[in-house]
Amino acid sequence: MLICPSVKMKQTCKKYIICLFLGMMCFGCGEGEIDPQAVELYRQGNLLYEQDRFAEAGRTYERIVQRGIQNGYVYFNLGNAYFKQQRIGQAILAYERASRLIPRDDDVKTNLSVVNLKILDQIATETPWPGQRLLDAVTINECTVIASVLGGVTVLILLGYILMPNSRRFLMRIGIGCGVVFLLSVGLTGFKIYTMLNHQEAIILDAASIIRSSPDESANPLFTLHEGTKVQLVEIRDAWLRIQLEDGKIGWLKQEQLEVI
Amino acid sequence: MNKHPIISILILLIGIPGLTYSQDFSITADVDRTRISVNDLIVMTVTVSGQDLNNVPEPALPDLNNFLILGRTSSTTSSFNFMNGKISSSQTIRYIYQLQPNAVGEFVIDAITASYEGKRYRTKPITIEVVQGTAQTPSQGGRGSVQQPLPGVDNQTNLREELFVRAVIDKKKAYVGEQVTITYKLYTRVGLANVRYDRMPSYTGFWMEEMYSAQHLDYQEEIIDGKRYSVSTLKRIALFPTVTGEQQIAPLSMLCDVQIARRRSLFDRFFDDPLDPIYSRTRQTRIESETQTIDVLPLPEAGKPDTFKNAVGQFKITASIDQAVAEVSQPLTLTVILSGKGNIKTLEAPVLPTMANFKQYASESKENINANNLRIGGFKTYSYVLIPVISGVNQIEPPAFPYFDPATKSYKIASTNPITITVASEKWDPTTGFMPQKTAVIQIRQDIQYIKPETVFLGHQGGFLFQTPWYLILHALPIAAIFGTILYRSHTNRLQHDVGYARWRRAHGQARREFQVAKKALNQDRFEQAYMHISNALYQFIADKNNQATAGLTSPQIVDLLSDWKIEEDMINQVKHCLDACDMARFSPTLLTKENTKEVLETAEKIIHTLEQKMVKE
Repeated sequence: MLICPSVKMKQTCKKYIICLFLGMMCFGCGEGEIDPQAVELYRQGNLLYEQDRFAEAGRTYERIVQRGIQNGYVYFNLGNAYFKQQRIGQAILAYERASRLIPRDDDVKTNLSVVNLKILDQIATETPWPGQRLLDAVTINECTVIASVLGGVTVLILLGYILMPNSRRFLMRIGIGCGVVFLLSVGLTGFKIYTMLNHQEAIILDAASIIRSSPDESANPLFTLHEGTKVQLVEIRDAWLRIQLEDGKIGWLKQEQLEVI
Repeated sequence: MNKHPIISILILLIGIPGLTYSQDFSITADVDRTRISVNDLIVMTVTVSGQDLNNVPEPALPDLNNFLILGRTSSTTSSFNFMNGKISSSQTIRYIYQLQPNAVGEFVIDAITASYEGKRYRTKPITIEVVQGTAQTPSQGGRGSVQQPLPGVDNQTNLREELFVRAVIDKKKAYVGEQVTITYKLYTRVGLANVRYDRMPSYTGFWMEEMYSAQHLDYQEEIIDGKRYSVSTLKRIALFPTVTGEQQIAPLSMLCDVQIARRRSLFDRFFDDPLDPIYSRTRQTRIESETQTIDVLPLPEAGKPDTFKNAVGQFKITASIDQAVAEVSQPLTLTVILSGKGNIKTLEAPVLPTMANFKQYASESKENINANNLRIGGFKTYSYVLIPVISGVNQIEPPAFPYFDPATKSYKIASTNPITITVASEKWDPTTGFMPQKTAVIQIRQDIQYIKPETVFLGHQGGFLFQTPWYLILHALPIAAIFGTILYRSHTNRLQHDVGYARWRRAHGQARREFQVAKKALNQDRFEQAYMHISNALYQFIADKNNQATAGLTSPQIVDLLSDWKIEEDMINQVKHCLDACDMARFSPTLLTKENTKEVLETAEKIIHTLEQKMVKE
């Protein structure tokens, strides 16, 4: 009268897989509540852009952002509208924001490189290690989902190990492999989240801003940065920001002269 | 070592065409003579030759302070070579300038420069000596003796009325580029000899074309104011104004020897023979025509076509192709003929529209000018070599040629029917076929990519999943699954190995199954059966719970077992009573009523339910 354990296990597995799929769908849906008004604004913006009314198109895209919707494609079009108005700093800001949301979009990469040609400041940068590129090519959310799915698979293998004593050797091997990859992905996700929280970047928006030695209007000027240059935020003190360039130069400037990506 | 001959042959094969056709660019300047008089014209020819001259602008002339440029024309010749499946072309463009000096002295025409593929090329400077007075080579045409004997002129007679030159122009007003004909006529009533040109006018501000120049004087009779003159046409010149405004034509001056009648003695008169030149004396005389003025009007701006290139007159354009059916890569010749009356020489070549399906090469232009009917006219032939690139039926729209017709004072456009060329695909022969030259695609500018369409996903992407509660809760699922699986696994293990536990677990279920069967029997009024199942259920339940054999279990044993489970007295009595009721019913059929059976069944169910809760294993 005993229910065969393997049959029971199959049912459990099925249940778990369904749960996992539901979770994935929830994830998709969670991202996908589309605001019809935002779509309408986007359509209007594109129409204005097609008529070469770039300033109005830019304002229309900005309204989508003001509605609290952060969307890579909206930021991309916004960047185009700013670029056509010769507002390099704003264009770079928009493209940088787009590249954080849709990091593998070729158009964003192309436009960002085209606009970067127009920046006046030349800053010596280190060539990024290959892993950095890989990390930059995925969003934090994608990292999170990858880590979760890997974790789920590892758990499934563990369950199999518990319930199927006959194939324990095989399951042990793939389970260890999967577990290592899972831990790696968790580590990378953590690293990405840490970077995002602790190494915020900003774009200079003023045509020319003087970087000073201390958060004080009368402090010694150290160097000048121009519109569009990307800097790293180190510290925030009242209305002053401590920034660092990629080549290591550090200084203070007023908050309104730049905007955090 | 045996590789070397092969390599050298290869080098020869590759090198020879390269050497032969790597034609360089060259520019030279020539003048027809270097020593002229102030009144003379010199013709300077600037020759530019090289490959692919389409983009080479006209060479820049240096400042010619001492010369006036009276006119400019150009001609192009091209040659094509098909070699090793490649086309090489060389072109020669001749720019011809008519220059007139405006001072006496030695002048240098500085180097003429042209740029080609980024390099600058220069000609050698030319030195020209300009001398005062008559040209060294006076026009031969005017020289001639009077064939008709005319009476000698008396010293006292006013020679002006007897001998003069007239310049007749056919119109006083003309448009820029419109032909004005000037005719010089010699009127004489005296005998002339040794007639020659002294000075030719310069025709500043005109492009001139000589239509007629007398080789010898042919006289005709004409009567003016009752006087009979012998008249001879000396020259007829077509003038095309190049500058607007009042333009003066300087007089033509001539020298001739006039026979003078001597005061003769009687003796002389006796021997006088008017035909004998020995007896006549001559005197050199200079005669001049009057200055003529032409009012040159600018061309009207109204209705001027965009493509108008200063063609004035009446023109027609025709176009023809040498083969109407061709193959890809097989050259065709498109001939465009401009014909008509007007300044044919100064016409610029009509520009063919760019044709995507053909490669174009301008090859040559020829002109043929005649002066029939007192109007300069003729035709100019332009040849273009076309090489089809794609097969198909192509229509070539020959260029329309706009011109200004001074007769109707309006702009007109000469055009011709389009030409149809059927291009068949090339017969593919990889060894001898014409290979298209591949060129790299060069991006000339970088620009941003266009905006994204509306089809993209437009939802919010900014939130972080690791901050969303439900996403974090989802992770409890695998943990729960692991614990659940472990518990399930230990449970099944115990069921397999601990019979007492297994029986204890299954006791309630078995009892309920028995009750089901009992209920079925009750409904079918088989009461005896029902009672049996109820008692079975109770015995079985208690046996299972205590891991005892069902057979041989008696009522007192049951009481003992239940007491071990610390069941209250009351409950034990109920069990006993229920079991007794079952036994009684089986042996006294009077109790076998539906009501009694139902009551006992319900009591038994209650008992089992209570016992299940009480009999808990540690």
